[in-house]
Amino acid sequence: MARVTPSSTPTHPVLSPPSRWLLAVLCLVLVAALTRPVRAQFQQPTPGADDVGGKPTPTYPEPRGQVLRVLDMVLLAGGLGLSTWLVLKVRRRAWLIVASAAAVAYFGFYRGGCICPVGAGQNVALSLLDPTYTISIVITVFFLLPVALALFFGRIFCGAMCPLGALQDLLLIHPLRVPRWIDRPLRIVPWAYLLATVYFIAGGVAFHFAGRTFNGTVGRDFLICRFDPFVDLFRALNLRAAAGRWHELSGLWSGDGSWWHRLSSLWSGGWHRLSSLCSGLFEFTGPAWFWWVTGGLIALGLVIGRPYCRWLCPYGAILGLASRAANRSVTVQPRGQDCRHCGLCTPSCPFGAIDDCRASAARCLACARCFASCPMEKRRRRAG
Amino acid sequence: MSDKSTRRQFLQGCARAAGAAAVGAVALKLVKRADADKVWQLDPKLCSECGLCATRCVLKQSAVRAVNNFDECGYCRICPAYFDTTSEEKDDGTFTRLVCPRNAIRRKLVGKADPADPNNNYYEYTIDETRCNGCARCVERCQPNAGNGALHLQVRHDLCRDCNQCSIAAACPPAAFYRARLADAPAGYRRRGAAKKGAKA
Ligand code: SF4
Ligand code: SF4
Ligand code: SF4
Ligand code: SF4
Ligand code: SF4
Repeated sequence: MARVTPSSTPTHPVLSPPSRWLLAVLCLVLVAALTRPVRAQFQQPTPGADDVGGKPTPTYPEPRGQVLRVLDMVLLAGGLGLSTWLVLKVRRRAWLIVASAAAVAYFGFYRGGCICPVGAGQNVALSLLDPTYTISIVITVFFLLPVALALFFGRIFCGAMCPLGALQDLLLIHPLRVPRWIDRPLRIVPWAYLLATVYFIAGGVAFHFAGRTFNGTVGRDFLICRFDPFVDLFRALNLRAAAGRWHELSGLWSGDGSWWHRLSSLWSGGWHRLSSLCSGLFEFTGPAWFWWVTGGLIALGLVIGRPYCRWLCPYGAILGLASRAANRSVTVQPRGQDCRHCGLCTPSCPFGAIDDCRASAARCLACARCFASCPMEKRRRRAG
Repeated sequence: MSDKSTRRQFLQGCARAAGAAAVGAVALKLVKRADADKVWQLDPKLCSECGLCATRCVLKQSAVRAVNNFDECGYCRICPAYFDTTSEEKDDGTFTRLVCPRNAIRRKLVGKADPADPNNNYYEYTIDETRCNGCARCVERCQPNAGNGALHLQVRHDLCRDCNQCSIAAACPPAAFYRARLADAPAGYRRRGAAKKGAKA
């Protein structure tokens, strides 16, 4: 091989260009030849099925079927119709509590809080702005149905069918009155939140929190989903994972021997397995710090009526706006009767939605609590 | 009824009509271009094995798992995705450390064993899905030209909570995580090279 003398300069190439190419190719071949045995050690042609005694098929669990997604839509529509009837015609809270519990159980814990009408607005907004982002009819209906209903009957959706609202409402134990000077300014927050949500969807803002890498396809962020305080709780109850571990629980009672034998083995091995089953059942999701938000809101919600609905929820802002046009929204006194302005109803609303003995359509969450405080309603109930 | 209240009712009626028109317009526009409902899918052809699948999913143990496509697996004795080939070599040619940090890969001798040359033996590698969290380390090591590319990641739909905005998708650098039509999901995005070879079910 030619040796480069110290006196040689780049202007006097040692090798002519063609031979340099040749050398490069030679080197490549050499490298390839040297590395081949190493590679061959790992990379092998796949054997025939007979050689390995039959090949297993990799499993790919099927996603939830389309039919069940349509069922969600049907359940929402049915639940909304039922709530409308319960709030405006039956006017008793007891049945609405049952409906709330059902909504929390199904849309909340069973469906894991996704998809909900509160978040569906983001998909709708994105789909309107970006035609390539197509969504199913189910999502469109989830967003529009409660709004359409609000145009006529007010925020019926908030009464029981919203899993977020229903959860807070079921946990409201002792509502305290919030002074006006706190309540009023805070009511602006949902609008700011709504604006921010649309901004993060429309703007294509390449901004991701907590050092997230920015992804070219998602120049957007779903703020409502990211800061949904209850979805982590809903997701925590992982029924599907628990169903997968059901055999562990059923195994507790298996085995032969006398009843006494079974009982004692259940006692000895049972607790351990039961606790492992429970830890699989409750799988806390989301970042750790967010549990303070969730826990804080729930703790606050024990004494302050629905803090998320009143001072945060962007969908509530939309529903409130639509409700201003409603002609059949909640009235504290039975419909068709004149209010006597006794003022008994005002403190009965845990959300401060009653001004001058009238339920504000924009703020009334259709919870059906105030009716019982109205003397006219009492008369109606006695008569009915 | 007073003038004020009829005027109010009129305005409310107008607002109602406007609102209904807006709702109708949005519905019309979106229903026309509506697509079948979609689910989050991982496209193994795009995945760069960055490891975010394990850490970004909202579930503590991610809904993503490694899957071995046995049709492409070499059943190698020294699987570079099983053994950490940078660790110390043992006398029998295997290695002291394993790749999987969660010990989720099961290795089993299958087929007829060749006593003369153990390198001719076949080993089946299966993923213990209760342990795997989709960290992609094995998938990375199985890439051609080290392995055959049989291992790949996939989201397990029985575990995935179908978040409205998948937090893995929001973080995935090569955008390998996206919503695919429900009908395509089970067949279309299964494995590396599926498009090349054609759907073989
Ligand atoms: S205000 Fe928002 S969170 Fe509360 S019940 Fe209404 S939609 Fe649900
Ligand atoms: S006015 Fe208040 S108490 Fe009455 S239904 Fe509305 S939210 Fe409930
Ligand atoms: S985040 Fe994307 S690139 Fe990273 S391992 Fe998951 S699918 Fe692959
Ligand atoms: S993806 Fe990670 S956890 Fe799962 S088998 Fe491979 S190395 Fe193990
Ligand atoms: S949709 Fe949610 S549960 Fe499913 S993989 Fe993405 S983050 Fe995990």
